[in-house]
Amino acid sequence: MSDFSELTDALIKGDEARVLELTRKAMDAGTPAGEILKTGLIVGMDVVGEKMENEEMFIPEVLMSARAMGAAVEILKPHLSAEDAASKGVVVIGTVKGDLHDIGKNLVSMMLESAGLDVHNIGVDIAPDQFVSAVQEKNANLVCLSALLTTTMPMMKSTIEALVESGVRDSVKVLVGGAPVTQGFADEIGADGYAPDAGSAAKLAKSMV
Amino acid sequence: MAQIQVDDRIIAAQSGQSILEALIAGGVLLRSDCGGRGRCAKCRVRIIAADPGAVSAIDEIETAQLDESERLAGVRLACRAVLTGAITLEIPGASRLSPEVARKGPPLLFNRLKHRITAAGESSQPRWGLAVDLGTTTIAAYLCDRQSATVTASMSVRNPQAVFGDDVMSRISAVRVDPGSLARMQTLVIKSLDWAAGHLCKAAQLEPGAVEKIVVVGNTTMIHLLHGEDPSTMGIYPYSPLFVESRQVAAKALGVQFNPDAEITTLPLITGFIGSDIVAAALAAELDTRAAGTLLVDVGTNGEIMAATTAGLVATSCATGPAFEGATIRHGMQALSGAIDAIHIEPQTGRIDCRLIQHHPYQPKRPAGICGSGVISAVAAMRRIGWLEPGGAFDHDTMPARLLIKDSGETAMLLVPAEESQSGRPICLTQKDVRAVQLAKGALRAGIDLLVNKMGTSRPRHLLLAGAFGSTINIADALTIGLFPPLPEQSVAVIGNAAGAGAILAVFEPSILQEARRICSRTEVLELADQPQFQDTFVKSLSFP
Repeated sequence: MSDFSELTDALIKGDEARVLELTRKAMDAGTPAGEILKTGLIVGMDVVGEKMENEEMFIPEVLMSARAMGAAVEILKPHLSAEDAASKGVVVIGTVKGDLHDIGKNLVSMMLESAGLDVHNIGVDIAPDQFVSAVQEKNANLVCLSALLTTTMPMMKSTIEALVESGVRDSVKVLVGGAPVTQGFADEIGADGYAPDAGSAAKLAKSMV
Repeated sequence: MAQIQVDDRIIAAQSGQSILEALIAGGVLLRSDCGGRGRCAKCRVRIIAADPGAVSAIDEIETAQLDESERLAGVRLACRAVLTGAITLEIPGASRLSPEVARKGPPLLFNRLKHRITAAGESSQPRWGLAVDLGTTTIAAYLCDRQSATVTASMSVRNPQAVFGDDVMSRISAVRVDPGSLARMQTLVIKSLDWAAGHLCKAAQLEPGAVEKIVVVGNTTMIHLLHGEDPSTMGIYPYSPLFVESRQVAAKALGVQFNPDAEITTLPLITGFIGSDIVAAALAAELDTRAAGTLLVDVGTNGEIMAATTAGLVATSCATGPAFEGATIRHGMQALSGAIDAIHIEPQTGRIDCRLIQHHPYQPKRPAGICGSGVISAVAAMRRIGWLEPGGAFDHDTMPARLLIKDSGETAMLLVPAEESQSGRPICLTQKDVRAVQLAKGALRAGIDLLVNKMGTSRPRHLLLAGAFGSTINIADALTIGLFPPLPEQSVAVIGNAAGAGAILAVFEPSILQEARRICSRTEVLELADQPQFQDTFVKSLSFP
């Protein structure tokens, strides 16, 4: 088993050039791509997620780490075995109708993609029926709803209701998040999970697919 | 039937209201430094008699702050106790909102505006007027004497709508969830106006009936709530208000009682988040005569900015949030006595000295919390000494170990040890607080940067800082944390409550209303969310220089 501590460190520091350098070095040394991904990069992003949860790392840094991860995954992809490359689950993620905030949602999206999930980031100001269509079209296992305003939170309830009405609620898990959202609210509207920040959201999402 | 018997009268209440809200709605204003959130314990009342089940049982928040003898005597926190029946209560002197504490001076800009008051002394206009800056957090009221073109007395009151939420979004949300909240919030602000006007007139030995003209400015949500108009549509994109035009109504139409026959004028608004406060500030600052590249910045909860450009006026709103007013900060509080408003870190020893706001010598010299200016001062000081990384994380290697503590499980820096604070609990700045500051300053800075970008220049020529917070902020500290782009200190001017000055001008000078309308129709609006570079600009602004 190779020592990936340097790679993990570089990822946590958001040093994209170094991450790519160390990734290529490991590949050249014969390390299987899947191992580099799992033990080097995904472990590193898990640490980034934890540091974001305890406020040690903040949005700009997490974004840089996520971008470095994305770049590394791009060069590893062609070398991943069928098993490693297989999608761990399909996710639809978007910000609810009336709300334009997307930074947090994009962070979650990037972190889930890095973890091997098939992520469809459908954007902001998304109406309930648009979420339903996306879930049906992509055969999603998980739908992630984001809202950053107390005034748009009720749209999360409407979206879940739309999922129920169209008969897909039982085939998909619902995860909600955003600054004003609380566990209590998530329970009230019948969501399957709630996360207070992008780091814990990615962690929870991985366990829910 | 919910009701309160107090001060020899009976106040009718609505079942489900807190005692605090019911009292204010009945015209009895209590201290509520924390905005009714159960954090300051200033709203103590003593229940002398109560019908069975008329008031909710004491909760953990109250038990934590009231000692046993108080609880046995029937003392409750008015903001936490909920009414469903009839009670009789007694209000301790210290709990009442005192007009002395609320007194303030006229706005800074007012002295420079006298030359614009041409209608002074005209007998056709009413002599006495009231100018009101209806802020989300603070309401400022100025009693104006048109005969001498002076501000006779002025006062500021915390906006009691805070019980429905600190910021406009929470108050809009309250109406969306329960339409009945609209009337309740309108009542709270009208009662505050009655209270302030009553005390101002008393101070001037004036009959309230003599105040015939009232001008109110404020952000769009505040003006909607004042008129009892539904602000719901402003809660979701595209944030459209129900109306933007100026309005003139009889005071009694809004439920104002100190002079029901007075005429209330609200100045015109621009968009859902760019209101008559920034318009009034622009009028007072004579922004349209200033050199292109001058930015008028209201460093408050809504972060409105208006720029003078070669192509005219451009305005935007940054949704800064209440972090700069002490809200969402763990030990945050309003800029009142007991608030730390500046800190100094001794470079050699790392000793922290806190400067306290203290309005009266007899008030305690112990800190109770930290206000917006104090938070900025602390973050700037920590950056300068190297205890905060540019990304905002505490530097565990350089910060003295004795200062790095845990506050309810969160990483924090100790500012005041337990034995030196008012509450007997340590006062600190948490890592999360720093993140809140980053978000707030990131929003404002991104707005400034995008406006400057739109002007086609690389930096503003001149910054004019308005708003109550804008008056107390330390400019060097603001530059240190990157709240503004790098500028020489002399390019930043503090102009105090410019919105209030604009409202006063409108009381004195009827032609100002037309000028306000012109500004509204001519101002170009920059929607930050529509700018493709917004995300990158905002993310970049989050770090410290």
